[in-house]
Amino acid sequence: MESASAAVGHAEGHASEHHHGPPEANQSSRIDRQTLGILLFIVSEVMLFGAFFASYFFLRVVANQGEPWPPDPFELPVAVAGMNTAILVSSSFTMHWALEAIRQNNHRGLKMGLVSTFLLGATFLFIQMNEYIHVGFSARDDAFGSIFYGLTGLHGAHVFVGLCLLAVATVRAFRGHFGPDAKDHLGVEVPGIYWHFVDVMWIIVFTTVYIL
Amino acid sequence: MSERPRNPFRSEGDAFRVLMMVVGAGAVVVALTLLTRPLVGAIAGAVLVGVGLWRAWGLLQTWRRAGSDPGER
Repeated sequence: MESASAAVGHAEGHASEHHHGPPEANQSSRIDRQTLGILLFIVSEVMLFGAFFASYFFLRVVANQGEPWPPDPFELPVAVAGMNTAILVSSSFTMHWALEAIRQNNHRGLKMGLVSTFLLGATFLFIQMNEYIHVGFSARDDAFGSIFYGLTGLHGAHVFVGLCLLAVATVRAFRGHFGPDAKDHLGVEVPGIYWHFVDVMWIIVFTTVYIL
Repeated sequence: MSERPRNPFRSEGDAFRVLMMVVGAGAVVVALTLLTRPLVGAIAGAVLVGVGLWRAWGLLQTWRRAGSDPGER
């Protein structure tokens, strides 16, 4: 008993000399952890989208066997989707503006950029939901309906997550949490990278589903 | 050492540049599809995807050799 308590006391003495809490996590010398985190997350999401695109191309090329696509009577609102594409691409410009602003210590530009990005993203999502209401078919209508709602719905879910990240970043920006140094605005930089990824995926979804 | 390759997952600026390249590629595919037919657009899209993957592979090989510089920020 005495040796055990002595050992604990000895260990505690060592701990208080060096640090408190658990030991530092291992860090790679080749990539910083924030970058590694967002890299792994985006790669996993690309694989998820890849599975949905594989399903789409299988249905269109193999299962459809040369029949018209979209099959009758399905019809897609290409013009509305095109306008939505312009809105989402614009939101990436405002996001980039927000980041450039904070790099130059322009807090007003940061706030305006983040609010604009959020509003444009919310508009995109609203138009998408309105399209679902008026498109005239549901996910249960044929394989085309399933894959259309699957792909666009998956992307819409990612937009929603991005809006949540933007909301947090916007609140923090208004509270003055960010600064011009790179390490002082990671809370905007990482959502910015994610938002651009969401935009890239929409370009691919729009081109594949609505145009080709 | 030569200039380190830019990583689109490291900075928002580089991710924005990748987005602009994808927007450009998408515009090419859309234009070809609308002006000709979907098969032409699909072939152009496949070629552009191939170019993108080839470029990404080259960058990955360079990163494996050069590593990632946390001080690049």
